[in-house]
Amino acid sequence: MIQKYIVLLQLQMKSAVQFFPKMLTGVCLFSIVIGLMVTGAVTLSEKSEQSEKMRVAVVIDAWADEQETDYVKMAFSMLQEVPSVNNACAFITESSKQNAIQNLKDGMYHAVILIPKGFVSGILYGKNIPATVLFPKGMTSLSGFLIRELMQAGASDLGVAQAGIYAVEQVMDMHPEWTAGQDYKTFRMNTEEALNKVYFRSALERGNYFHKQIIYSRGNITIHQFYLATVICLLLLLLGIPCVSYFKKDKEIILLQLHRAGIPQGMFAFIRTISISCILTAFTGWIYVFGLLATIRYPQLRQWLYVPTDGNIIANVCIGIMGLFVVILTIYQRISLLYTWIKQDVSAVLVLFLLTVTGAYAGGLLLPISMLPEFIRNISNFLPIQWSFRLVTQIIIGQIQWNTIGVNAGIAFVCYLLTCFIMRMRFLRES
Amino acid sequence: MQKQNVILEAIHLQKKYRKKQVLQDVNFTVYPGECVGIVGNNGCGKTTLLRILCGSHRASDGAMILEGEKKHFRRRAAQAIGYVPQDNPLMEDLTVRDNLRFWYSDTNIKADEDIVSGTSAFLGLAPCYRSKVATLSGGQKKRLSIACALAKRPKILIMDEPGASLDLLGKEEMKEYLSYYKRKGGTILLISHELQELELCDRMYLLQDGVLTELDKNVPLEQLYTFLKKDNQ
Repeated sequence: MIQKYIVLLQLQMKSAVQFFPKMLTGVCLFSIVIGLMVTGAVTLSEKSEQSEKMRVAVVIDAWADEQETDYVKMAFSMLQEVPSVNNACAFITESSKQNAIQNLKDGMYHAVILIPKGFVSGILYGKNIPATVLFPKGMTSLSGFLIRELMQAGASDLGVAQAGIYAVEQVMDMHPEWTAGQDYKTFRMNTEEALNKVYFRSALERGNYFHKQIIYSRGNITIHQFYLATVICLLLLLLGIPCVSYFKKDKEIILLQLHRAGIPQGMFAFIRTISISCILTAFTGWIYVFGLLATIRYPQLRQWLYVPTDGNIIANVCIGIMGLFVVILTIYQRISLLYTWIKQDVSAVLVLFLLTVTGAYAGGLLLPISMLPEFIRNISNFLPIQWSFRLVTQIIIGQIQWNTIGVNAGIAFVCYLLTCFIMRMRFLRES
Repeated sequence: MQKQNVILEAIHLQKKYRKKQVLQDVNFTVYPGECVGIVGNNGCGKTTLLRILCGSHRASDGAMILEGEKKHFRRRAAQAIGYVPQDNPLMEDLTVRDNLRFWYSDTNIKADEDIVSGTSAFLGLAPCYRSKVATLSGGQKKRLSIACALAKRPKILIMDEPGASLDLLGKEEMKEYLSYYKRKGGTILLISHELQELELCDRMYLLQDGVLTELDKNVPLEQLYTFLKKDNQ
């Protein structure tokens, strides 16, 4: 009997290989469509990521002289180079106050800093000429709070530094004997310069209150990896459409004869799913290995596909291919169940397409789960597509977790049982 | 013909699909080496009867006796009875060889030898042995179905309208193959609407309204139409 199963598996493999060119055509067609969709999505995401920085307009008073304007620009340019500030803010110099305020109202800016005339000289000579910071009315966004905190922290640092310098200067004025015979003016200037350096260095270093660490809503993956996983999952799912002729090619009478020969219909369907999964795993496995080799030659590709260099690379690759097999088997066992359940080809294909699209949305393939409405987030974890996506993601970032493989294998097993049940019930009804 | 040893016997067979009674109290016997034909109008339950006889379907009531044994009928029927359904149960995208390889896989017989020079050589499949099933003619497919059914060397060959969907030449060929098989001592139970094939039968049954009646041997085949017309009226 085992011999019969082995031969049947071999034959179904052969059948799957023969069917593969059709699938490949499907891959090409769907790749173009999904590729275009994903390219658009990646571009949009990248744009939105760049715009994550708070845009702050700096308006220098029109009456400020050229030297002061240069000082302000230098100051903000220096501030921009400080990593903590650079991670959070982008300063844009605006020449017109009206323009800046209008843009603030339109939401183009998160804040506007109005630099008054004499601002820099005020700092240098101890006069308090405050800059005005404008926020849009009713702004309660996180960005608004952040920039308010940043400004307060910066102003406080600057104030403390300046207070220290002036304090030392005043004390020195009271004790000219400390110069110990040196020229007092030169000594005072040198000391002030040294103090400036020390205070500012300390103040700016302590000003690094904000260290930017990106916690992606997509999990610990880049946009590229996220959408690569989406492409793979969608391709595998949509390939079920051309596969309808593979899954539904045999007549009922073959199932009847196989049943007589001791092979239950559910098992035959499973062997068929295993066969197509093996062929697809072989194909995608080669692409995976090729991709890994490419990352060695071109490290920039690691934003797409990452393989941990620590530990045994071959073992990692093997686990990756095993993960691929599990995810493909899970997806195709689900498709097999659907095609068993719905007898008519057209209806089955339509249902598969609808399930794929809605599943991709609800499962967080198109948008990260954190961006989905709460009620969808609640069901997302229970969707098989979400677990397939999770496993594909883990393969891409080289961090496969056994529990994800286990859940996927469990889903495949449940789908197998349901397929067997439907076939059995149908057979009993007809016989 | 060894009339004393009944090879297959149906006793008070009944089959119901939900509320519809398809077979009513069907009784009949098949002896080794004979060819038994069953005729009847479309939809009268002939295929259902054959499927019960070959063990793939269950009867609602009654008993089946195979080689004098009642127990484990369906399991033993899978070994002892070869069933050739009306639709060819073939994997169309594979070759003749592949199909045969599967059905011969749990036997000690090598498909290659058997088809080319063995007992199944009479089916004449050797020339198309490496061809894809999808490219075969209707007659070749039917012969391949028979070859698959004969792989386990069954004692009885049950055929459901072997000549259906074949052209005239194909029907003639089929008749020749069946008569050869019969001459070699094979037992055949067939459903047919073709007089050519029914000529091979030693005995005939008529299935009407779910009731099986044995026809008189002396009734000429041409008179079958009279019975079937009556059934239709």
